[in-house]
Amino acid sequence: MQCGYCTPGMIMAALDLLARAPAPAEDEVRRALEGDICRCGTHSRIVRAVLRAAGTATEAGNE
Amino acid sequence: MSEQRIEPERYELSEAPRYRSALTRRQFVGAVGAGVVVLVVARDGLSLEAQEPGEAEALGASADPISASLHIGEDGAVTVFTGKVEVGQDIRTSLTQAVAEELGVPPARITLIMGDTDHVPYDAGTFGSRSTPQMGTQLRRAAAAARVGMDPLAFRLRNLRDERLRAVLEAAADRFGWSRWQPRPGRGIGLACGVEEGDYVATCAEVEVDRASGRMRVGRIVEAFECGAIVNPDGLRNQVEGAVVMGLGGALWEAVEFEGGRIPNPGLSQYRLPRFGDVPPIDIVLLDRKDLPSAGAGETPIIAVAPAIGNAIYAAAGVRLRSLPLVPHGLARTAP
Repeated sequence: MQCGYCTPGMIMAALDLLARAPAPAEDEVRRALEGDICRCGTHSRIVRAVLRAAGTATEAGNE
Repeated sequence: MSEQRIEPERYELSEAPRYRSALTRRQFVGAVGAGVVVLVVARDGLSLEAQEPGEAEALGASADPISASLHIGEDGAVTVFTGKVEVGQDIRTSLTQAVAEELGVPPARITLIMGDTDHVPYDAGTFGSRSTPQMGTQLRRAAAAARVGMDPLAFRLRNLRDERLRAVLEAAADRFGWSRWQPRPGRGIGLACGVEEGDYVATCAEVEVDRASGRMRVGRIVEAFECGAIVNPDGLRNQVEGAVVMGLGGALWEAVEFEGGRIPNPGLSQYRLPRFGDVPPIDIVLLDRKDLPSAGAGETPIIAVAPAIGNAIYAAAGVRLRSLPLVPHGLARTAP
């Protein structure tokens, strides 16, 4: 992430997702965040962050 | 992943070079082996009207008669075979120029074999002010066909002298699996590379295009980047990854529109940005040149994304889009 402007909305969307689906697949995370816009182009990292928060991050997702 | 519609009627369509080959590009390169490419092309010309009867049939009913040929050697040297004759009018220069322009190589690397009937295709003669308009055009087609026929990676590696640019190109192609990629209907891969602000970048993209519906999506992107000595590896990776996503937006959708003196897409609800579902797997390769001073890295990683995607679309569908954005009206406007 570079600016953080969109982060609050993403946190709320991710929190809502994890409340409903504690161990989401990557596709589910992408769908849950589809309404959030990121101009920094950090989509891949944000998806990984949500997966990490859920404890479902794969080895490849952690750099 | 989201899909977008190509609207070819709004954009320039390139006409594929008029040559015939029963082989695909990769089969062709494989068949001639060792990177040596020979291509022949000919069309409508005086030389063809005078072609020996029966010769066209001997070539096979589907083959075009030959009136010029072009050979690209393993070392990148280009040899052109034409029945036209240099008699002081300097068509040697004008024909060389035509080939050099199409192939993007310096004229000094091109040799013309002219009028040696042991080696050149039949030609009715050098007269009637036809050399430049007809033979020049045929050579352009032959060169364009050679350009298309050659593997894009092999073509660049054969012509690039800049070691840093070669290094990112090879790194991106290697990670992408360019040479191992198996052609599948409706899919294509493209690559592009460039230099800007002291940075070196190469991008490979794979796309899927459904010609019937006009829909396409970007399947994955690999980018190799080198900006001298890396200061902050994580920060750099973040910048490059973000730049690829920004490049994706500029390539496919982003444009401020104007209509009757107004901007119909003034907000983020109408201005199409890459969204989570649009972003394909992105693989970044960072080359660390500790022996070189660090250059900035925020913007250059954008530049090769759109051409790589455009080349991949061309490889998949034969449609050459030359205006950005390539797919101006995204999912929201084109969804049925």
